[in-house]
Amino acid sequence: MTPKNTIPAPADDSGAQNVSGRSLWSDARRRILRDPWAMICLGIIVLYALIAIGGLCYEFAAENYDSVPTFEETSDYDNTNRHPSLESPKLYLGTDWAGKSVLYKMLLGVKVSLTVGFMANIIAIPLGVILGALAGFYGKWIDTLIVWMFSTLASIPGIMLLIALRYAFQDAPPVLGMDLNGVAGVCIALGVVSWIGTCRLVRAEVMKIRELDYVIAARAIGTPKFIIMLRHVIPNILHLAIINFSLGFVWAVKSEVILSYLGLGVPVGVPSWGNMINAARTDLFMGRWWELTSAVGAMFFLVLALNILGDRLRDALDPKLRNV
Amino acid sequence: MTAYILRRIGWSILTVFGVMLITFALFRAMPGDIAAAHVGQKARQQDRAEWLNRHGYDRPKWVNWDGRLVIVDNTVGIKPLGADDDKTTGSQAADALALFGEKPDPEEDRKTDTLRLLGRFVGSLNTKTRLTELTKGHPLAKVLKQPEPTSQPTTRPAPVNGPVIVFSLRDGTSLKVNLTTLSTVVKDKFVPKADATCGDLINAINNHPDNKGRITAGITEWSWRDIFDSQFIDHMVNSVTFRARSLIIKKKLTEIIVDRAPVSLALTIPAMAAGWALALFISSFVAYYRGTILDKVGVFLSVLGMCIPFLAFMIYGQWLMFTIAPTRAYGLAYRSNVYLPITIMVVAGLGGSVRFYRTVILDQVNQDYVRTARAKGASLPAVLFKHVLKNCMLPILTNLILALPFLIMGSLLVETYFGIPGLGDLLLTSINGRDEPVVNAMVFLMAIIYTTGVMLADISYAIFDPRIRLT
Repeated sequence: MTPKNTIPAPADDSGAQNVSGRSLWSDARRRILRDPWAMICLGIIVLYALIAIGGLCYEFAAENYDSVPTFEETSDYDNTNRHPSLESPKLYLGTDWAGKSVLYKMLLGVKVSLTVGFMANIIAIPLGVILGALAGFYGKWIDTLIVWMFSTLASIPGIMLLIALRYAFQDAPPVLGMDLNGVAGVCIALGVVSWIGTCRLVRAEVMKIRELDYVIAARAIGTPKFIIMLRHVIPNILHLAIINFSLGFVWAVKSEVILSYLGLGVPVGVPSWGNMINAARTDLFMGRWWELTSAVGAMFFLVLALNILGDRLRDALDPKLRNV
Repeated sequence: MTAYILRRIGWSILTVFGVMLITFALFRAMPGDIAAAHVGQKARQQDRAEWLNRHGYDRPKWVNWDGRLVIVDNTVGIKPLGADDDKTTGSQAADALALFGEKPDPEEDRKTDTLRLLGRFVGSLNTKTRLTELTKGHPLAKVLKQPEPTSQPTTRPAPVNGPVIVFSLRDGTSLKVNLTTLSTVVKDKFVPKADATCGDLINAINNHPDNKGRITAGITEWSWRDIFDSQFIDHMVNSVTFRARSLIIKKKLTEIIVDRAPVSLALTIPAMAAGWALALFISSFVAYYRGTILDKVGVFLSVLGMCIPFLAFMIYGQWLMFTIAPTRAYGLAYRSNVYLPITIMVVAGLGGSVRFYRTVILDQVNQDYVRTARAKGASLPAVLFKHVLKNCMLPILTNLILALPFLIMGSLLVETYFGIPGLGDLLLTSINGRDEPVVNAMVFLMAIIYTTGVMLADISYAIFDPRIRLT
């Protein structure tokens, strides 16, 4: 990387090519595609996504065809707590207390984790971007109101707010057909808690952009304020949304596991990593390490890949942070 | 400066008010029957209403315009006044009206001369309010099955069928009030007539031929002062003063916090201090060797550490301790049991903070004054630890202040997992037991510590750092 240079100079290209005309996005894409670490991490994430889709297909099949047993029905009380062995795929990672395959449970847990991570951020990121842009762009009382909202939410520590939300959802009636005491409730709680960081960043960035020449020029030719915001401001903060999406994903996956462990996450019985860890917390003392370790391992690689990819995305998309 | 400080304090007060709004909306305004959780799912309406009344949950949410039905016993005696249903008629009227005897507060030792029966709070209750609003949809009585009509005519009249309330009075007598005229039959239940009003009910009791002035029914008087007697105002006062009591362990919140906070502090202060010192040391070290293989290994290890879930640190750590010294792995029976949780908290937090501090330090290393100092001939360690670290203190201190709430709260996860009776453990048991005052107090305590910390930090920056603009 070239030091202290804001214009991406083609350092290793032949040098005769045209330097200008590469947008932030194509530059970022080029950087990511050339970054072996980023590509490895992307590969891992795609693999996890495929496993999650496989889990969805399996659940669909189990619901609709009698010949496919649901995961609950695969309990096999003759083969409880089996050690991992290479006898059959079911036993690659051993079995749990009810004789269910730990490997399958772990793979099905991918679906829950990715769903939670994805849905929480689908709620949080647009909320943060829209509110942040409104606050930063319009200023005045809108800004005061939104800043008050997020500083209030931020003054309750995240885990406390999550717990409080889950407490309040405990016997809430379904909203729009979603059971707030289930996975949907976890997603909503995580989303509601995590938009604050994005909002704060976007607001600060928009306040800077608002004063830039191209915005002033657009205002001078009489473009309505709302159109300026949509057309000139928001596209210039979308990179923040993408970076925060990947980092928020990590946070959501980790929080889901912690909430499940506290008994406030996805319902007991749904195969998820948090429930696996919760079920296996005393297993180590009996020498049964496999259920715990497979859940922790599965989570470790996902979080690692997401973390590294998030960092690389930030490097690629935010030129100001380069060379730090 | 004074104006800035005042504005900053005002903003903090607004924030704390916002926290109260959020906690109120979450804990009180959410649907869900808290009385059922404490007196049981199958408890009578009367018992629920009494529980709600005793803990202040039956009052209106925001503004009190409401009145309630009140029945005063004019007789003198020793028995408590009560309202019951006539079991022979299948009546549920007293239950539907949620009539319960008002108990004098044992704390205040107030010997009330008049014993009263109360009903539910109803918005702007007057004699024209419909009876259905008083009963909140509960049926007044079941329709009893009539005996099969036999061929031979019987002289006995059919049993009275309909809602009957039996008031047992203080002098031992009782009064039966039949509400059949105020109700109609829908399906197999008696419900209040659509045009029956609260005034009719009061008339039915007061003008009952057997009453003869023994009991008087009426509507509570409402005065302008009562307007603030609402749940939200109460919630605010409770939050600020911590005067509420736990619903389960029946102790004052202040007592509970004083009991439990030292345990949490014994865990978090060493953990925080050690974690902070260690992270700062390692990150200075890594930043000092920046660009070398040592830096890369250090960063990679800290990323790995960040990716291991906290739960894994606890579970494997406990197991490790269990294989070494089984008695030290759980609980607080020995004082030395705190070492394991402290170690785990330090190690688990290390990855993230090393990375954070390294970024902060490197941010400073690229500044001009470092180059100047180097050019002057100062050695790199001297520059790093003398100049750079001093300039890094601002973000590092901010980070510490933001972690302040956890100092009191302890690590929730560690406390629940290792069975350490601190505030974090209390919070979780309170959530499972629906002990709302405790949950609210904990959340509020954290919020107020955090807000105060951030406010003090902002003000001290404004005083000490001339670069910060007062806006």
